[in-house]
Amino acid sequence: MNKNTDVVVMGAGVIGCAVAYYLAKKGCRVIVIEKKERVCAEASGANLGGVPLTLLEPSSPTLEMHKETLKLFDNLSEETGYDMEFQRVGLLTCTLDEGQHSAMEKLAQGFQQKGIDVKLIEGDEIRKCEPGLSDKIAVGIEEEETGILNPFKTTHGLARAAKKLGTEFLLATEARTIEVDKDKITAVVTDKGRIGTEFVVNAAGAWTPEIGKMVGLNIPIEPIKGQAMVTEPVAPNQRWRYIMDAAYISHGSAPDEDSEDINMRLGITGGWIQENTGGWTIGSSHEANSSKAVTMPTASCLARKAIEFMPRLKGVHCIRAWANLRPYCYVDDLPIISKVDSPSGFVIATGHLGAGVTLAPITGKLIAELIIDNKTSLPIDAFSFSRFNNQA
Amino acid sequence: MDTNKRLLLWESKGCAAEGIPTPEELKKTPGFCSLERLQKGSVAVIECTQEIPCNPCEAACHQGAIKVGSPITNLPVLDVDKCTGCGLCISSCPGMAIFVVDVTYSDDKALVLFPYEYLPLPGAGDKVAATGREGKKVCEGEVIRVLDKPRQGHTPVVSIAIPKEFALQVRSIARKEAGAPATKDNLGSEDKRRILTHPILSQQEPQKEVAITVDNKKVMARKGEMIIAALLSAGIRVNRFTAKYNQPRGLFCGIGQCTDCMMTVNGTANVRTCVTPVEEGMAIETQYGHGKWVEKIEKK
Amino acid sequence: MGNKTEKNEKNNIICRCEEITEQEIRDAIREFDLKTVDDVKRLTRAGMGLCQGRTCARLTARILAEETKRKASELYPPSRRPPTRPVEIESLARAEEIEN
Repeated sequence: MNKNTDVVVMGAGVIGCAVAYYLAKKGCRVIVIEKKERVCAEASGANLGGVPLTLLEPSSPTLEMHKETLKLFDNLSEETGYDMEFQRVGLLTCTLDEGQHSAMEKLAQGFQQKGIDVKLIEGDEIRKCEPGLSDKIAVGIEEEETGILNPFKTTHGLARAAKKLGTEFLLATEARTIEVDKDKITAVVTDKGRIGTEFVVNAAGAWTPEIGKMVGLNIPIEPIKGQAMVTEPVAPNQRWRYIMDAAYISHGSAPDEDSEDINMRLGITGGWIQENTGGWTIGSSHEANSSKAVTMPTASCLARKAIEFMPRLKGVHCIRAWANLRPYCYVDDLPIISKVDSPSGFVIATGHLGAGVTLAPITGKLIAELIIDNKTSLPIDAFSFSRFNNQA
Repeated sequence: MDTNKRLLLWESKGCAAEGIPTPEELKKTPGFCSLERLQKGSVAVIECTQEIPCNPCEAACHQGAIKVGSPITNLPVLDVDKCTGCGLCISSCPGMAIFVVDVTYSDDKALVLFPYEYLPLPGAGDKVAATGREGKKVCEGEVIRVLDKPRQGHTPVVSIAIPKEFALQVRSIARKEAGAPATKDNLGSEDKRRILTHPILSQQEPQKEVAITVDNKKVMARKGEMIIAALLSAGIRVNRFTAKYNQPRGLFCGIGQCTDCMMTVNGTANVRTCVTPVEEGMAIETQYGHGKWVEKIEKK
Repeated sequence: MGNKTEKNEKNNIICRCEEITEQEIRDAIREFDLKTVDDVKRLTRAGMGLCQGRTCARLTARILAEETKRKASELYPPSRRPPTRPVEIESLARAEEIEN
């Protein structure tokens, strides 16, 4: 094979497909290369399908991206001509810890100051609306903009839309080297042949560092294993289909490997979404692990956490459990959406951790803007590669 | 057989037409013995008139008196000199077409031994209505013995004494009348659909009856059986309605895999009735879609 | 007896748990050039229901074999994940070994 194109995107996960789509929309010729034999092969196909607005603290630089991405998702199904099953369902973030009451109030205020309509809601009120939730829930915050979607249909939908605009997908194709001439990218050499190109977008998720090494870059991304499971279909909840443990916002999601509490060691953060068909997806762990194996201690902790918040789930059966690797930027927990200084033409789009599917459209849009227009519709300095100052 | 040929059978008699072999057909079949041999005493009478691939009778005879050979569609040939009339072959025939007749039983009575798979089994000494090949009563008879040994593979053999002149006609007995009082060995009125004797599960002993409710109606079940058995026995065949297209579902795989037989049991949805035993007082409900979540938050 | 089985793809339910028809499966295979039973599962939900493909995965493999002109035996089984049978969340929560 010997081809030529404008941009080579590495990785056909949700980020890669979104990048390809938005580039193709701008008239770019794109080739997406993917190591596995399928689109949506790894983390993109192993998540709960949540698109939360209030996932992180109000002060997080990603908040604007979260807002924007939801707006993009509102129209994406129609735009691509494929139903991604995106719907706004709202989110309840709550805590079992009565001592966190003032912290939750502050959180609510923080979001409100950023223009997000968030309501503080007391434990009793929560239980009135949703009898199945634990009577130990002290307080929560509720917002109505968070969405959920079907991650497989989203990724495949974006891929198909990109294909319709001329993007080529080379599956089961592995990159070997990236040719650089006078500090500019000239080609990607794969196990199936050479692709001449000026731009390479590294959207390889947990495998980003390997690609980075091909151009002599140390990209500070490490894999964080996430395990989740799904239950049999049950009758729908009355009000909240998407519920989160507020601890996520305060503790962050990196595992604390030295902790005595196993939940902290495994980075257990409770997040539960009820699918359209009625099953509860129960997530998830954040383990400093590069194995995709489902492990019993994690399953046990996830189950316990779920029952703590939703005792109703006790007698409900888990029918499948799975795990995969998220890309995590261990320097500051933020994604990397950035060109690099050297070599010219190398672009990085990864590090989204638990917000990959969530931020896919906006990432795709920003990367496309970065490459084609050289300026982005949202500030992305916080996600710049140059913040690491260590291009080896 | 095509439709035309089938139409023409309306005026025919015989095994293919009516399922009942005529005397002519029987006399031609090599398993049917001569009058001469009959007079000598107990002998097997193989009323097999159709060439189908089947030969367990050949192996069943310890004397080697039955030959089918190759191809196995051959009709069985009875060597009347080797046959001792022991009756081992009776249980071996899947078509229940082998009998033993002994016209020398007594001065006026003959003994007919036949396979009998209905319940309840008769007992020695019972007075019965002896029936012919058409299932109609021919004469009165008396049960002499009922044999149901393991080697018979759950096909009991009944021997009855009947007036000698009917020895070539009588081949079975009428079943006990319906409405017989329920006893420990007998069946309850809701058990008409039950299989009580099974080639693999063997003889079922109806256990103690327990009451359960299905959609708030009382149903009698047997302790220890699966819920689905009680439901089917009571004639209930729809277990749930699907979530998407609202279609009725009932027993499908029967082995706890397909989830078609799920119902809501004691408030818990998605219970597979084919692998869940009944318990006294169980409340079973037809499940619509995913059912309801009942407030069952236990304090532990 | 009647004709040989007529095509009834719109009504043939392949995945009984999720109520996915043969037509939906064939459409997904053709539209997205799908190659494996797992891919079909992900895009149609056939095999994601309570029985986790015990009933439908073989049927899906046969349909896929027809559509992609390959042998069904090469396409089966799909990926398997724990648990081997449905387990109550409470049982998982109580599991003794929680030492890593």
